[in-house]
Amino acid sequence: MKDRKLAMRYARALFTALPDPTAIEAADLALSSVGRAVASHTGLELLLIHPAVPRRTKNAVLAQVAGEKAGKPLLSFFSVVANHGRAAQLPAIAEAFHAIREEAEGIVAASITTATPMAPDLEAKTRTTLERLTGKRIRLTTSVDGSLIGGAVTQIGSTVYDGSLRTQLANLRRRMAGQ
Amino acid sequence: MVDIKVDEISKILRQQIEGFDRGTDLAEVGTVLSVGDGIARIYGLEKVMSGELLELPHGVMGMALNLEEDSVGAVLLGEASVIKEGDQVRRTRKIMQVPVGDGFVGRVVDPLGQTLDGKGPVAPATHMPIERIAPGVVERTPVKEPLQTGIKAIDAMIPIGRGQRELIIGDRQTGKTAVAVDTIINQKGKGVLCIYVAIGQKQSTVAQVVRTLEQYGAMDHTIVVSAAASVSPALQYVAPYAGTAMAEYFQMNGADGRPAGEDNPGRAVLCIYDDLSKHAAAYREISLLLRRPPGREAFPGDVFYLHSRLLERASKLNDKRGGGSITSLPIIETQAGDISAYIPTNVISITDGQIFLEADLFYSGIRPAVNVGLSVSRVGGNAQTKAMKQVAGTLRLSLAQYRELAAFAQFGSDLDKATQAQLNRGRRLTEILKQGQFSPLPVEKQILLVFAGTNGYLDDLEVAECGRFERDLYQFLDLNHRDLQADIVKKGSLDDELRARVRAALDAFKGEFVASRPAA
Repeated sequence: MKDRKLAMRYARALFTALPDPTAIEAADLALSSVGRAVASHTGLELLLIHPAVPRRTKNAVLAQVAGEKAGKPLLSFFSVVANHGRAAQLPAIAEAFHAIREEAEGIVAASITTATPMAPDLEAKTRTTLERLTGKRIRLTTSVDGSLIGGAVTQIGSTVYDGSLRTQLANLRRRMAGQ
Repeated sequence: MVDIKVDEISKILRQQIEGFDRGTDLAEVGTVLSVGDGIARIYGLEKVMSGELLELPHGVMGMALNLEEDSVGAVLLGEASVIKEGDQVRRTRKIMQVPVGDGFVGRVVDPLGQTLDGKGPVAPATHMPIERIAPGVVERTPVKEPLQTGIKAIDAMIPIGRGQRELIIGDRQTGKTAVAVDTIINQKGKGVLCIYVAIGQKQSTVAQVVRTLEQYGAMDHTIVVSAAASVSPALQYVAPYAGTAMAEYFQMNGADGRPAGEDNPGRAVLCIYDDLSKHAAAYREISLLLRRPPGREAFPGDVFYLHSRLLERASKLNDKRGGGSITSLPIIETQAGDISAYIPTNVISITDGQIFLEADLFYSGIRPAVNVGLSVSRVGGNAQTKAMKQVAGTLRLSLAQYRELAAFAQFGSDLDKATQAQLNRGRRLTEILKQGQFSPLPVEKQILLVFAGTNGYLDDLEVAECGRFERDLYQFLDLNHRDLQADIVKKGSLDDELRARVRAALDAFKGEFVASRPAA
């Protein structure tokens, strides 16, 4: 089970421990690769949380998975996480760390869903419009959902701008049935 | 009938569609993280308010109760099994509210205002929030108008005033609901609207109450709000607040539907919560599922506030605000007569008195099984009519002395004359305070009967004869002394002249009664 609160706590601690943006970027990359590794290899996760495996072994394994790019703070972070028996939460911590980093850099995640795939120039135009509206940098993810019929649904943070034909038709129906 | 042409319909439709605002639909959303036991944890919804209604898929609504750092805890109102992890939740920006209005009178509804009696939907006058801060000190006026229950033992000794909160407490099967139902029946024609809130009861019991009310013509001034045992604890939790919101509409608005004021009187409402023990249990269930820390008897820390904020809304407004009132009769069920459990002590301390019903009295044939010693009314005395106060003052005293002596009298038979007379009087007074179910008694008859009892008209009769004496007395009074009854109501107090007339009437009846008595 993913524990958001717990992951957020570890991620925030790591974020404040790192000295500068380059270190943060490096840590983000290393952390997400470790997170992916833990999430995809059950054996690795089992090894990290197994109480019979010595700490030194766990630390060595984590250092190897993280690769040489990982600096000293990150390696100590890994050993803290492993020693606390929270290695299974590493994917969630990686996610939380990424979110904190984006927030600090003024990047907002936005998603846009359309009925048919968007042309690249339209996507770029949408991105600039959204960036102008929010005043922040946008990380845009797109998806396609045929049931929208037409129009687009944009979500920034927890706010949804629903301009889809499906919703408008539903509203029209509700209004006419109500009268 | 006017023919409607097809092209006219299409024209109307076209206008509708053209006038339709095609603006983007703006919403704040969250995602369901986990769902179970009627509770959903939701991620997102950053600006949600506490108590706000939430919209989930498949027409399910929820209410946000826990606002935490990274998630929102909400109770689901309705079918929870259709909600899945990952479903989108939308804010409605509305605090939980219920439809209210005069159309609801005579109907059976659920806590969301949907009708349950199969007589079709009700067009509400407006909506009101279920939680509302109670009227302040300035808007209120002291309780001074009586609310007649029609039950002799209560009206004489534990009087209830409009705007009062009087707890009905007792074990199961001691007649708590019966007292409430009798009170509703007695409000017929007295201009008091009644709201009966059933919380966590069997559907069959609720149906029985509704049937009884219909049978005695009392449904015409009553709303039944039913949250039966089978509905979710969230709805049971909401039910008394919803009932009170409906009551507040009548209290705050005149019969014309406009806000009450000096020249537009607000209405008097009687609210019965049957029962708050089950309400507390439903709230405990919700709280534990929301992982709020448990306290005594596993109830959450705010269970006192849960009931105090509900019962504070009982009030009598001043004339400037229309003079409307809400009288609350909460019911609490005790286990084996234990009134020192958590919820009973809480509600006893909140209310302005309690009517304590006892199983022992009930089984020894004293019905209503009111324990006169433990029952009190802290403010109702001011609301009692003067005439009743005059005759009932001695009644309370006589009964108290009787109880004290009755315990001793069991030991020996050597009692002096005065003691015997007191025991005698007490036995007969207890007898005349007995009353059948669904037979509320008008206040003037109560006054005459209590007068007869406290002035010794029964002392030389057999205890078994008291019942017949009472029945025959009413018959006699209705035949010969209608004007006397009307004068008691009109004057409100017994002056010397009226007292003499009462004595004369009772003397005449007593003579007749003794003469008609079969020879022993």
